Amino acid sequence: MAAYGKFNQTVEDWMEGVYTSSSDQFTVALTTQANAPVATNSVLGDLTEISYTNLSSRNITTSSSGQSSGTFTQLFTDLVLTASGAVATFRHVVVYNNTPTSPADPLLARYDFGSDLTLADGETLTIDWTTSSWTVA
Amino acid sequence: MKGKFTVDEANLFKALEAKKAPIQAKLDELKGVIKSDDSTNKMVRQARAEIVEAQKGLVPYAEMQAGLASTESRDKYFPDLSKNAFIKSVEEAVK
Repeated sequence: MAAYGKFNQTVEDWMEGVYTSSSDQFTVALTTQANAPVATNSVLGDLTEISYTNLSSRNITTSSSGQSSGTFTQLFTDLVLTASGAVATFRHVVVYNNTPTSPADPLLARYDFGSDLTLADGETLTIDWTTSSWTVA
Repeated sequence: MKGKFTVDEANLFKALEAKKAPIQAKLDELKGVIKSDDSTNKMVRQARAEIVEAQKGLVPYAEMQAGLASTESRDKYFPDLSKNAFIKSVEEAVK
């Protein structure tokens, strides 16, 4: 199971109107351990991504978003990354908001898979968001 | 979780991706409205509402893709279907 990590800037972006979660496009970025994301990163431009050659779409589909009894929950459909050839080694998966332009591509969450991952032709990696991708209470 | 597609699963996955493509293209067009400097607030609000609706159209295809790739996702999204019944429903969806 991948270990979750936050970005410090995210809560400010959320509260200051950068996000419209129900309609924004969220996307994943991949990095190596040598370029691991850290809590003080705030936008995609702060990261060094791997090459995405031979990798399927990294766009996430939002299943639902809304509040219930005062807790906001955003839910994503499990994302399947598939390789149509060898894909560069990575270890960290970062979710970012692909819609805002100011700031551009703010970072939302990071997940450390704990060891390097490689995908050969035909292999898949499913990122399972369980029952709530994240909540704000 | 990591897995590997069979040839048939890979073909179904690609067929689902083709079903998603026009919806994603519409989403990209609407996002252009949101990012446009000369868009009015009303246009942006309308575009956001249309995006939410368009996204709903992607959900079943994305769930089927996840179901093809992992047993856990299939059990989560299609708990009442056997694997064979699930594959048949995907084949129907991409016809």
